[in-house]
Amino acid sequence: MQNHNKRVKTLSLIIERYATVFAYIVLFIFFSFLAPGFLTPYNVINLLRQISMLSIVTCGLTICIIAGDWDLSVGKLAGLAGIVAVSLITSGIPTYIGILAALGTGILIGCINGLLITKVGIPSLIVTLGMMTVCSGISLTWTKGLAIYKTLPESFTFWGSGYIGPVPTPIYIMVIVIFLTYILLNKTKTGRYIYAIGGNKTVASLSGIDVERYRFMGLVICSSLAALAGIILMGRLGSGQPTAGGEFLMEGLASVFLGMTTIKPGKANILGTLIGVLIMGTLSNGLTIAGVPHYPQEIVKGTVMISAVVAAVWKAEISI
Amino acid sequence: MNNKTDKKIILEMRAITKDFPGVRALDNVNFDLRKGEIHGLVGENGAGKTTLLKIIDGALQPTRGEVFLEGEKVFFNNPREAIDWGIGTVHQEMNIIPYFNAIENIFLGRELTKFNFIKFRELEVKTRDLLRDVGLSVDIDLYQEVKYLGAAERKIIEILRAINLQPKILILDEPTASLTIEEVKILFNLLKKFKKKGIAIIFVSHHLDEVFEITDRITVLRNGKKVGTAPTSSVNKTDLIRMMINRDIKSQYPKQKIPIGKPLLEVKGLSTDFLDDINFEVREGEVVGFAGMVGSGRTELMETIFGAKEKRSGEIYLNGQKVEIRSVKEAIKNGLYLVPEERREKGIIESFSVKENLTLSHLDDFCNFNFINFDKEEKKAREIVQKLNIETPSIYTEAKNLSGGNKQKLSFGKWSFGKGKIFIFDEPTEGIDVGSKVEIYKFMNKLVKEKAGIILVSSDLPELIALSDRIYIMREGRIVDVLSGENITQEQVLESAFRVENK
Repeated sequence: MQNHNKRVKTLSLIIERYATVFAYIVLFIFFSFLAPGFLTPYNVINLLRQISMLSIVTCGLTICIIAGDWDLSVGKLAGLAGIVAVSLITSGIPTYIGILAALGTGILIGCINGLLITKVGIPSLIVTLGMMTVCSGISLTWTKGLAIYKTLPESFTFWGSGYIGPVPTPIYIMVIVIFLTYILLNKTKTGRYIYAIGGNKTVASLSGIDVERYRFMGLVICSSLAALAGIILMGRLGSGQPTAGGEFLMEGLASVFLGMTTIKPGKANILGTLIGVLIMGTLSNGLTIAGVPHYPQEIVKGTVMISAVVAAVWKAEISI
Repeated sequence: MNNKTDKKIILEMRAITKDFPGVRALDNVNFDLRKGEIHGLVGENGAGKTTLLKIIDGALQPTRGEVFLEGEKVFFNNPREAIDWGIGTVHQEMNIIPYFNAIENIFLGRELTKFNFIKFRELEVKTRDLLRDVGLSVDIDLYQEVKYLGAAERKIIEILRAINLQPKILILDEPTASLTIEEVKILFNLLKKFKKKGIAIIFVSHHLDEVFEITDRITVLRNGKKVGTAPTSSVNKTDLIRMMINRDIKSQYPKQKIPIGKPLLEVKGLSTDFLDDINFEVREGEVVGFAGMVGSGRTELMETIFGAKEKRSGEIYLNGQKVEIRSVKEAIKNGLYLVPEERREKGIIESFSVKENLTLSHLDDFCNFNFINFDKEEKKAREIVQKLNIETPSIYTEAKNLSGGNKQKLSFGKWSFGKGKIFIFDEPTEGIDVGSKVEIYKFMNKLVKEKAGIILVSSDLPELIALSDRIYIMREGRIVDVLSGENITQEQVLESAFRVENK
């Protein structure tokens, strides 16, 4: 009897922990039947390529949110970094310098965010909300609001639309970034400290952890990854789109929240985040194949994000 | 004052018992309050004063026992019902909205409105009536945001808000805590006026001088039990202190005599914005106690030594070497450990597992080039769990699922290995059961036996006296007294800490 109860308890724990994963499997099967062309090798590769950029941005967001900071500037920063790269490269500057400049933009913005948040002590929500608008403003001012349609060298487009063997380049980058983030968060002291800071800043500080330093580091990593995603994005588009990248923020946050409901319920965690990214990406991809226009998709995605937060808050796992 | 006994009993509490999980906060307490009296309620921290007040004002419900108001049996399910009956409470901490003005604060929740528009003119008239009514001559700027007013004015505004409900009983929990002597006078004049109007007042204070000055009767609580009630004129301070403390508790503390060695820590002329010229030392094998009221600067001193707060001047020597401790990390490196008070806020991370909490402050010891060696970490965690008897299903259980005593052991456990030489314990046994207390004392004994030095900050005087070799007493950011030797009494400590003037 007791054994039976224990088994029931373990089962319900498994269901609680993996409900979101089951939900994804159901979603996948649903589209496999409903959307002809969804379950084909071509589309699965395509799906992975589509989510590669979001995954990269979301790895950074996950780190920030674990440490207890928001970064709302990721989407617009990705756009800005892409514009920096494209406009430099199309004006004749070598590709690698353009790419380094774009990454440098990410690091710089991350440092400014980090200084304002950790040294000046302004809440991250406010700093990065402002920075989001600043990034968007710089992109639009620089391009006068017009897209840059000049031929980009293959050395640049390779990062967004090239292939290594049968697999698109961005998928390799995604796998590397996810792997490194997973190692950082789960296997290193740095990761343990970042979790500790998000868990309780006072305790972390009284345990000898330099709270400000690790928060700063998280914000810089997040901005750098956003810039990397921006380079891939513009390489894929083959042009400089000043308004691109904005959707990374909403979809990224939704993925992190979805991730908090699974694997390690209550905590942002990288495997959970990946499930979240897969859900968001599969929704876009599947709905498109099923013929649902772009605008109603936004309604679905927004609803999914709110539902994820409701599910997490309901179980009193997180407070936002 | 001579016809006190004629006064009608307004509140009577019979055989009140209140249990919390694992603790009996109140044990069979009887209490009565008369119309038009000021009744002092005193006792050490944890004696049950606040619990008793909370039962009166409806915030808590008694486990057993009955409450009678004006002879009628009542049971309050929540504070709202108590307020409706006519019980007003002014809590210890400031409970007003800083960017509202006096009028808005006094009438908060009971604004006079017309179509949802607040009738400010009328409220001002009513406020002035109220001020005249209570005979308050203090000039309070009614339209100034209260954050710009002084502490006494803010306290008075809080009291006016309670009085505005026309209560029959007014509860004041430590109302003078943040007031100067002048401000206390203003407050006391006000209380005397309320008394004349027939309001019954319960006055809780750690300042015994004030209790003697303002109250008509005094009730003493100790360890959740009532020691007695007496007319103020019939007792003196010595009696009262004796009633407040428990005399024979010394035997309950397993203190061991350890030979005292060389100095481990010397603090010379340490000052911060609050602390002033602090000098003391800790030697090998020694337990050094720190006593003082809340706000006397004990915690601030400990956090400054630990590198968590910045010092303005002064020198710190460890093993005779002058050191500059600029961060907690440096303190830990130098073998200086702090087990902070309020373990929930400062000691452990609730969302972390037992293992993660235990290794957090020494994680470097388990890392190769930033990579955690999980086998080593788990082995250490299991070892400490066993050593400290931490009751947990596994080392992977989240800390939030442990009991209070086990959480406290966890916050100790994270400092129980490594090269700690000086241990600062800030209120280590606050709010935990007797069994866990003894294990913590044993742990401290073990440390001093290994030639460590301990700084013990505690408001639990019997504990402090029994365990300490020497006690420093702090008041208003200074060390005002040092007591040492075999025969330290609680009276001595209380007198220095409470600033009781001996006549």
